[in-house]
Amino acid sequence: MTTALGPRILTIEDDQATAEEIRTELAGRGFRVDVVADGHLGLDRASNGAYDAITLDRLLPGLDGLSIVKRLRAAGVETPVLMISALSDVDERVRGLRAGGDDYLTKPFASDEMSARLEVLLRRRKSPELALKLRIDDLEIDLIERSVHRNGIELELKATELRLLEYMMRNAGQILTKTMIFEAVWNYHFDPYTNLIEVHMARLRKKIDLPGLAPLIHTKRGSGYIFGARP
Amino acid sequence: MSSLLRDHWRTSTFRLAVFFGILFALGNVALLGSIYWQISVYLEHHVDSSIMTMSSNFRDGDSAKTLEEVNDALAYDLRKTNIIGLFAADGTVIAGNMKSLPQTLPIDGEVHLHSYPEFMQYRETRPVPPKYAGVARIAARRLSNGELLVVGRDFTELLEIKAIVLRTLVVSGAVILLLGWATGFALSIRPLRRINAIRETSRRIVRGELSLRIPASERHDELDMLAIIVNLMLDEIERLLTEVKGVTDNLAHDLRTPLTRLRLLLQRAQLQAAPDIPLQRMLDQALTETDSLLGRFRALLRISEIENLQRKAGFSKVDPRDVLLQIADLFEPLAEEKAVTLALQYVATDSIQADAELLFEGLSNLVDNAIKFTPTGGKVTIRLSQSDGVPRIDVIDSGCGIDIEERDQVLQRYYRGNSRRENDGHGLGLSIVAAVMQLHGFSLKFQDCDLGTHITVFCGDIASNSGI
Repeated sequence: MTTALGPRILTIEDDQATAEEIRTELAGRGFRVDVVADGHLGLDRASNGAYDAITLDRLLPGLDGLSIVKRLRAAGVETPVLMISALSDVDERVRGLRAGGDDYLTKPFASDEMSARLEVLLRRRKSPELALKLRIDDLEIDLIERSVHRNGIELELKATELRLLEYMMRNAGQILTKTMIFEAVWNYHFDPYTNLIEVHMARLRKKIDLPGLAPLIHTKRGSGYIFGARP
Repeated sequence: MSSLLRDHWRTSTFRLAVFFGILFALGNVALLGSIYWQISVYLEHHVDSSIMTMSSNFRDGDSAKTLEEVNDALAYDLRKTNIIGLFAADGTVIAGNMKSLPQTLPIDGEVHLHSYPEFMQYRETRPVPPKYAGVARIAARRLSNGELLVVGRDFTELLEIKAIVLRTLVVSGAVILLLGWATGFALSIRPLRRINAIRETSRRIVRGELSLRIPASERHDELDMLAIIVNLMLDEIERLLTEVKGVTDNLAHDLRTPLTRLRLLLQRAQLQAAPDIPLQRMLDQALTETDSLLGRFRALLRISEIENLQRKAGFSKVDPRDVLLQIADLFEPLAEEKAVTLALQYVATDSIQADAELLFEGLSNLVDNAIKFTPTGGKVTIRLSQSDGVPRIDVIDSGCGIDIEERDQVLQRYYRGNSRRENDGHGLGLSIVAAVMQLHGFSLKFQDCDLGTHITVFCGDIASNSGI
């Protein structure tokens, strides 16, 4: 994989407008995108494994998205798959993920949400092992002892805050949208409607980003949050 | 029991049977009345002619002879049913079995019906039950020598016949009425059972199970005809509702795509515009408005998604306490930020059959609303208890509350999620709650409280308090 050229993405999507939107968004972030509109063709292209990630529409002419991801996994192709579908209810999501999809996004989606999810998938592929001790900059978290230290000072975190911090640290440097955070930390897949995530984040921030130290949690205006020494 | 009787009385079958019962009873009265009348006419005629014969048999003109004949006639009257009296012109008794001359008896030779205890002694010797005062057919005529001859016959048996007829009438009438009532009751059991089935079906249809139809039997009777008509109407209503809902959903869905793109454009514009210029604030506002629009459409679609979910699919055993603990954990920072106290009180309850994720979503909306509408320094209490055999969840806030008239509106929206309110929160949020609860068969109720809002969720089927 040549990072200089950017990751290769296969977009299997029959709706032209959506496909173009994905292409524009990803190209803008330096990704190389191939678009395929047919299910069978998509499966062929995906099977040779030359791609770093796939966005896959659920309803396609020829072969539907669920069958494609099932066949890919059966053939041993482990390319991360972001399923995109107009079918939004929980059962559909569960079915998509069970078939082998890595993440599930409902149409219509905000393009930045889509690219944020894709980047998280790409990164997860690079470092799949689950470390039990994480360290970013001067923040250290021990998941066995459930302790957090910043600059050598022990911090008191509640269980939820710890889960939130762990998720952010594991995906440091990535844009994490509120929806992604709610899904990953609370494991619920509905729109929490209010500024719930914001208040949770504000609380975590107050505990982590102590006065005098460089902030680690950064707000990405309009889209979400980034964790790391630099935004 | 009285309501059961009232239900039966309302059925036309029952009324018809009772009506026929009364009709038969009246016919019975006519029949027995006519028999009585015929018998009395016949007896009267028979008795009168024998009285006239007897009276004319006594010799007129010879006082001694008449006296002898009177005494003879009495001696030969073994059955002691005849009344014979011979009186002097001034009314004193000469002979016969009468104590005195009846004052009211016209002396015209015609036969009259007359009660006689005041002048008769016969009755005392007859073994007749004393409950009848006793009547007689009597004729009085003046003899040529001025004496009075009174001839009559005991006619008390007519009273006896009358009593027998009356007794028969009462007994048979009662039996007929009872039979009519019982038949009506029995006949109306089946229609009532069917009406109850219709009532139950209608109740479920009103609750939102629009695909249900009123049961019709194979007999094609009037109830079936009615059921078929109503079912046709329901088909049409369901079709129209689905159409309207489909249009709403499509609209919401179609509008979401351009809105999502609009939002993205605004966001990009915001990133590209120089910071700290007035344009930024406008873009911020535009983004907020777009988000609110998107949120509303998402909620609308979410409501119809929930409503379209297959009933009970994905249900499992859920401890409501776990759900509430998670909700309290999720909302605690939000409450703290608003300086609202969020309290969770719980006791051990039965577990419930539910879709945990949907239940969480529904209850989240309730708690979210409660916090949203509670001013700083207020309190929101979530309480889990076991009541009427089912777990009960109360969400009580000290917020602005909902007017009683407005509650009805909000509750009405519980059934259809296509409401749009100017005010965020209570509108669609509660519709989602309602859709979730309806899917679970749980009931929602506003409780009366002096301050704020108190909403109760009964996690199970308690006695329904809906209108039908």
